[in-house]
This record gives sequence, structure tokens and C-alpha cells, in this order.
Amino acid sequence: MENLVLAWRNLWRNPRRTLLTAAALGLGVMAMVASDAYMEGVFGKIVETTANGLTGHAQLHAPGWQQTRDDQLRLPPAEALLARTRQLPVVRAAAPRTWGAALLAIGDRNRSVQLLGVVPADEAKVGRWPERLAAGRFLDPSAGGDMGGEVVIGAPLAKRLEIELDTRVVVTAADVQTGEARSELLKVVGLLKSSDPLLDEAAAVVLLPVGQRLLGLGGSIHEVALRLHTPQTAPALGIDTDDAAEIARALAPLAVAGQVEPIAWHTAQPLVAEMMKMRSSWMFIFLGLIFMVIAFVIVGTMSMAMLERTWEFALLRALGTPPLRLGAVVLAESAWLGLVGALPGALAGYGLAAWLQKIGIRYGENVTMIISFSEPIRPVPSASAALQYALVFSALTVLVSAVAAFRAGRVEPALTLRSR
Amino acid sequence: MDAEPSAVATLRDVSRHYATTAGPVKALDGVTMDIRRGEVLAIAGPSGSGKSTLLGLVGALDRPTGGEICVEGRNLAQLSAREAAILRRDRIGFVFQAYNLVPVLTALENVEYVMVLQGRSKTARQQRARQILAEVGLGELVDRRPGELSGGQQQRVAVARALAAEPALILADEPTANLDSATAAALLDMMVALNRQHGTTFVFSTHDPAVMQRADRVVHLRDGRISSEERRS
Repeated sequence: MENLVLAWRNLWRNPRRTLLTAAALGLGVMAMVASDAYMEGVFGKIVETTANGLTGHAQLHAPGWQQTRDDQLRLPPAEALLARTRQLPVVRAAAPRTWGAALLAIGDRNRSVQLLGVVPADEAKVGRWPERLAAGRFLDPSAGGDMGGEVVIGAPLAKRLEIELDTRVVVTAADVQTGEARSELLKVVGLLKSSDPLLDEAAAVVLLPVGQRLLGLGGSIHEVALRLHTPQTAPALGIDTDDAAEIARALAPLAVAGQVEPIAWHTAQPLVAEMMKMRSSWMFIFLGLIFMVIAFVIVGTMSMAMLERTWEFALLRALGTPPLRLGAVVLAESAWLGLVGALPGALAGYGLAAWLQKIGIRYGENVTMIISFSEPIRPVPSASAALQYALVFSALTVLVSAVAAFRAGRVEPALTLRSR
Repeated sequence: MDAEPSAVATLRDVSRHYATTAGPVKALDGVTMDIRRGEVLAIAGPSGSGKSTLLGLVGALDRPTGGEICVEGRNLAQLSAREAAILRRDRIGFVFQAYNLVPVLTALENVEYVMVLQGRSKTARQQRARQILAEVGLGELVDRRPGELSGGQQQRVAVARALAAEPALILADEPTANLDSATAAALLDMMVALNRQHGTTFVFSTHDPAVMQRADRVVHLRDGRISSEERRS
């Protein structure tokens, strides 16, 4: 206890120097805490966009479809598979889909598209992308009659092909069995602006029966998109959807050798998953760079303070103070310095992040990083992360002061007192 | 030559040589003497005669190049660094010429410091520190930090700290050198009184005739050797 009191008082021998060093340390911690909150906001937004987009939390495919997107690789009969999937407690919603290459034409203008067949009610439970419309509405099974003659395309695609709402377009696809071309005249009822380049630039979304008809699939499908329970939606059943291994474990009962392969969003969106992995590396490098700069300041301050007190260390050694105790006082001093700088820094970083969360950071709709940031990024301040950074910086401050502590304990009293 | 039974410390043919760029320097060269229990001993001599070196060796702050030093019967050459530190803490008090105190501690805390190292309880050490500070005339200034005390008062605190652990021997390296004559005389009077009252041995290094006059015995050093010895009482 005496060591801590002595160290605290030593810290304030030169208040200006201590405050300057603590300020440098505090700014570093503030930068780390605010950056961490920002990264949490950015990556949280990416994951949320991924989960709320076409990808969902996970998907079911026939083995090999994900890699080849071969039309022939279809899932077993949809009704039985969907029933089995929805019985799994961790599954919150499941949406069947068909995929295939098609040509969308209007007059003499045409473009190749990805024909996506969906069940609107199921898609609404899995993701929010059907809500993201620039104009019109999403597909309505009751409006188009049995033939379901409606299509939703991306607003950028519509602009490129000069298509307006309620325009009729011809969608042509090849039968996956015979290769025979099948066409349907469909009315454009909605223009998507979903933040997903695939949907906005290259997709034609139709009702599932339309997709099955154009591709000659009968009752079969290519994909089931899944939304899973998280601890927030079902505390007893929910899983951590950031964890690919946990998703794989939860969906393992759905796997059927040679027929059904569950994949987590990490596999469906490998670029997003890689970015998530890079996040911790990036923060570690950032931490290292910031602390390297601060370490020079701390080492300089501590060395100067030790040099000024060499005589005092000699005196204390003469009085019988063990070297370890002297070293401990120096380390306690650096720990105080760390806390005096890091705690206010963490608080300021938390406050900054909370303020940015409130106002949001807008990049404009044209900024794209895997997905476009059409909504503002809101940093996610975390009290525990702020405290952790404060403690890490304090511990690192103690670590870089170890040399000064060692030197203090090694002062030779006779030599020092004689040289005075 | 055998040690006197009453000797608190004995030095036998003690030498301390330093290697310098200009060649070896003999700070002490074959010094043999006893420091008697309860006496006030002055080690006198001009600057560079070896006074501070001798005090450093007796205080186990340094090791001799040759010869043998025993304090309270313990051969200092046989002590580890840790044992030497414990000996200094428990049996030897130090008063230096200046910068004697830890500036961030109050007078009371400075006096307490050695007792903290000894592991005494807070109550016991505060009681003892207050008592000794009162004895040196600073009973009212216990909460002042060194920067708030005069030079003479700071030296009194240093003496109180040296006495706090009830040592056998107090080594004072020119304790009055930075004080005016009146303050120096008052400090000397106080230390001699404490010597008489507690029976603690005081060894001063000095070239101040006033200090020599108050000593029981004066050993004169010149060029690292004992040149003469005079008994005052």
C-alpha cells in the first residue's frame, strides 16, 4: 500500500510532464476505443446486410451448386425438404428459390440476367431485401393470377434498359432438361434498390412457379435460404450466427449425402467472412502502431524521471530498501500514469463513439465496400471494450517501464552518493 | 590487533582503491581502527582524505579492496547484498550532507520509512516517529514536506529517521556542511544530547572544527591513512 501511495505522489512531482504524457496516452486510447466502435458498426452493418440480403444466415443447396451454379444440381423435392427444414428448432424461416440464366428483353434492347424465383411471403421472413424498392411493389402471388406474370428488377438495370414500371418485358430461359427456350411476357411491378449489386444490376425476380416453369424444373428448387434463431430471438435455441462452425453444427441434421449441403453465410459470402477475419488483425496492427508512438513518450518520461531521482534511489538503497521494492515503486508509478491517461481516454473514446452513433456517419449512397452504405454507419460503443483498451494500455505502459524499474533497483548507493 | 569488547565496529588494514583513467587511486590505504559503542567519533581531514569512503565502507554501502570490517561482530565481506541491506536497515542510520529526505513524503512519513521496511505496524511506527520528531524539536511540523522545512529542520528530520530504527551506529557524512554556524551548532548539540540520552554511537565525517570539538574522539585522515588520533573526553 505504501508503494502505491509513494508512486502516486512521485507521479505528481512534475505535473506538467505527467499531464502531457497522460494526454498522449489518453489520445491513443481514445483513438482505439472510437476506432473499435466504428469497426464494430461497419462490420455489424456488413453482417446485418448480408443476413438481411439474399444470403440469409445460411443456405441449402445440392452439393457442388455453390461452386458451379449448374442448373442441373437441384435439391430433392421441395415440399418434403422445406417441411424437414422448418422442423429444425434453430430455423426461424426458410425460403425456397430457383436460379437460372435468362435474357430480359424489351423491344430491341436486351440483357442477360439471373432469373430468381421466390415465394414472397417466405422471403419476407428470411430477409429485408424485398422491402428495398425504389419504386412500385414486390411480387404479389394474388395479383398476377395463376400465371404469376410479374417481375421485379433492379432500378439500375431498369434505367440501363429504359424500362419503367408497368412495362411488359419478355424473359427467356432455357429448359434445364431439354435446352428448349421458354419465354414469358411479364409486367415490371417493382424496381429494387437493395444495396446488393447482384440484385440491383443483374437479377430478374419472379414468383417461384414462374421460375420453375421457365427453367423446366417441375417442382424442384435450387436453394433454400435460412434465417436462424439467435440468442436475442430465442435465448434457449439461438446460436451465434457470426460463428460459421456453430451454424454448421446446428444445420448438420439437414445434410443428406449427395443431395443436400448446408452452408453458412461465411461460405456463401467468402469475401465478407475474410473481411471479418481481417478486422482483428487490423485492430491489432493499429494498436501496435499507436502504442509504439506512445511507448517512446512513456520511455522518455520515465527515463527522465528516473535520471532526476538517481540520488534519491541511492539514498533509499542506503536506508535498506531492497532493489525489488524500488523497482515495484517505479512500476506502480507507471501503472498510475497508465491509468491516469488511459481511463479518461477510454471515457472520451466511448463518449465520441456514442455521439457518432447518435448522429451516424453518412458516406453517400455511391460508396461501396462489398455492399453499398445506403444507410449511415453507426459506431457501436462498448464499455467493456473501452475498459479493456484502458487496461491493455496501462499494462503496456508498465511493461515499457520495466527497464527503468530495473535500473532504479540496480543503483549503486556508494557510487552515486560519492559522485554527488 | 584484537577488537575492543565494547567496539561497535572494527576496521583491520582496510583499503579501498579505485581504478580511474589517470591510474589507481588509493582512497583508503591500510586503515585499522575501532569504533566504540556509545562514543561520538569525528573522522576529520581535508577533502579527498577518504572520510566519506570510510563511512561508506562501515555503512556496508561499499566493499573494501582489502582488509576486514566487522559491524556488531559481523564480517561485512561475508554478507550478501540482501543481508547488507538488512544490516543497514536495522543497525545503521545515515545522515548525509544534503538531499537527505524523500521530497514527496512528510516529515513523519520520512521518519516512518525505515520502520515500514522493517514491517512494523502503522500504529507502532507512527507513535515512534512522532516521539522522535518531538525529541528533535519538530513535534509541530510532522505533516510538513521537506520543501516546507528549513535546511536545519530537514537535517533534524534526517537524524530522527536515522534514530527511528534504534540502530547501533549512526553515520553522518558532513551533516553540518550546508548549514549556517548557529543552525549547525544547534544540530550538533541535539545529536550529542541524543547520543547521551540513547547511547547510540555517532560517527561524523567533517572538516569543521566545531564538530571536532564536540566529539569524544577525533581520528584524522590524510591521503587515505590515519595520520593522528586525539581523545577529547
